[in-house]
Amino acid sequence: MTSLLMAPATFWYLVLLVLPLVIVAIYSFGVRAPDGGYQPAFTFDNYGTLLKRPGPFTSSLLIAISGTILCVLLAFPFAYFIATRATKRKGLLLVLLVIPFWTSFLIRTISLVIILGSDGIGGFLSNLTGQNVQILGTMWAVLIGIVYNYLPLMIFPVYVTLERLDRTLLEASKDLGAGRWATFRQITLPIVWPGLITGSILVFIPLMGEYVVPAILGNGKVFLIGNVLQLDFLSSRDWPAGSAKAVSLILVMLITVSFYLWATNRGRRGREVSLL
Amino acid sequence: MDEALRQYQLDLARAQLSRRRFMTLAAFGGASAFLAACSGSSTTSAPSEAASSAPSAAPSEAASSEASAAPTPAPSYELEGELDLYNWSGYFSPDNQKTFQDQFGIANFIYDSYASNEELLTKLKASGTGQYDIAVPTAEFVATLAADNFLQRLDKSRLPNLQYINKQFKGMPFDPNDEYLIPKDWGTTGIIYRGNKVSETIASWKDFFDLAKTKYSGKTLVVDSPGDVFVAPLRLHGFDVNTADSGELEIARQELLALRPHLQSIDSDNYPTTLQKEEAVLGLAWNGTAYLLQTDSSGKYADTKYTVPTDGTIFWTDTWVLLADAPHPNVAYAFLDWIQDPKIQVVESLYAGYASCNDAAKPLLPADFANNPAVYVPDNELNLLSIATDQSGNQQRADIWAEFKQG
Repeated sequence: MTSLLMAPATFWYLVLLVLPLVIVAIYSFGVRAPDGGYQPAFTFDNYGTLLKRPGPFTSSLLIAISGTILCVLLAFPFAYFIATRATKRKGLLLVLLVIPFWTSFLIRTISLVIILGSDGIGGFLSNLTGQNVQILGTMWAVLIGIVYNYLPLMIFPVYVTLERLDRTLLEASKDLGAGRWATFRQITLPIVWPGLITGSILVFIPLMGEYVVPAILGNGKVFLIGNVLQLDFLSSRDWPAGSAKAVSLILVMLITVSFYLWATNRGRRGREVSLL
Repeated sequence: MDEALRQYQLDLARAQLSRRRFMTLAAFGGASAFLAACSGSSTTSAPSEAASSAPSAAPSEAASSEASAAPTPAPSYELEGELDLYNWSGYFSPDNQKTFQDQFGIANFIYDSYASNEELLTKLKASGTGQYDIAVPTAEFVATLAADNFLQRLDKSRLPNLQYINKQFKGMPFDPNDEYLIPKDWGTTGIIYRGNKVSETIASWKDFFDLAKTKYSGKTLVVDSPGDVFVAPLRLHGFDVNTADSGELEIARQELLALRPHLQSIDSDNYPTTLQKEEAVLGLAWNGTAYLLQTDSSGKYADTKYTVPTDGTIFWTDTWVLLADAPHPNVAYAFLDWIQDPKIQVVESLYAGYASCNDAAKPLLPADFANNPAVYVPDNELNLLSIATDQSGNQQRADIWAEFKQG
């Protein structure tokens, strides 16, 4: 019975995740067929050329890390407010947080084009400073778009952990003479920690492969890994080169996330840190 | 805000309607092996020789006199009552569709659309033939489609109206014997600018580079399509647009990297809006966009100008093809012949806003349409045009483009 119930998930996992990954890995050692696509071969050239132009990798890493940090800084006070201070309005605030998700990701990002463009904040700043201020087409525009779209993914896990925060612990801490900072550091932060880790991973991983936001807000001038993959697979139709980049991206993520989990859990052995 | 968003969506729809993503896709058109075989000589030939394959707009006497001949005779095969067309969106006049259905008694006319040649190719590869009768790939793609057995050889005896096709569109390197394709519309890559904001006269790629790097720095855009963007630096130095010479490409690279800091955007999807809002006023783009802006119902963008650069550029051609295993071949043949009726072509051109490859249709078009450089390239400038072959397999070009994109 158990195996029967597990069958759909196993099938899903094998056919739609493992198999494609294996194909991508195999392709990454091939060469481009004369009319584009894949031709079997065994060469490491696709990996060798990666190091020639690491720009998109470093840009992606920079954007993903700064985006994640910004999300943490914005999400924490917000989640803290909803969990502890909002009382009756809690439900309303949570619903308001979810409402943007009812609209397509694409529409939300496209509307940012108007808000940041010459009819919006960009134009306003241009008039204010008397110079031609361009927000669109810069890393800043992409960062704004990313934080806007991914913030709820950070708020919810943090909110869930804060929700479980036992207020009497804070009072006890105060009674024992701890100041606000000491209480935050020794009580609140350890409790919120799992939520922050979950949120960071939820935000960081999709950010590394983000394609839509830079494509729309970057005016074609912000060049991240997602855009490189698009170029390789669709424009130069060099599937092996694209596959090698995809495999490298997976490895980079694996290493980064493992290191992150190791670093954040160091010295916390014995405390259960659940991912979700 | 709502209004702005709505306008944006409309603009986006129009941008797609201008269906100019295809050069990106034409650039990876594939079949480079095939093309290399067919066009190996043109790669090394002098530009003037490549230019000689440019279309000549002067309609032949015979074609124009026959334009007023008797209407197309009804085909002598039994019609199936349905036609399945797979085409770019907004690339076939709804009025013509109604006329066709009424004239031939076609109850079901299915018009599905795709957004790129790549999508067409993927669709055929994934779900096979037998679903659609007719498709509209860009000429560069026809070789790939034919090599993959997705196309039928045309029975010319059933297509008498092919006599109206401009001879210069015959025997293109993508289908040397014209076995598969029927030329539909054509256009060019050139320089677009807002006359209200750009007071200078722009005639050449040299003017474009000079002004983009000085007066219109930060106000200049290029389309996100290597096949088109490479044309500018190569022709600026008088090189063949299809060159694979590493020295020439290196010079192109330096020109592109020098231009890069001055660009407002590298974008093919939203650039009509960018030009409308004057966020950019100068651009390397496609003629169809200029026509769309000029004829915008608001009249606010009528100052838009389009130049075919005097140092030379490329042209593209879209084509009708009959798909293998077409479920309704008789209707498809009837359609392909009927659509070349000059009067039908006039409706078609005015709807899509592109130059027709049908010689007999041009004299029937309004003068301001037929003489608009954003639609038809003036006769005395036809020698500036060359055919672009697929360069997507060139690693040096791919590297330069990645470097250019990264900035």
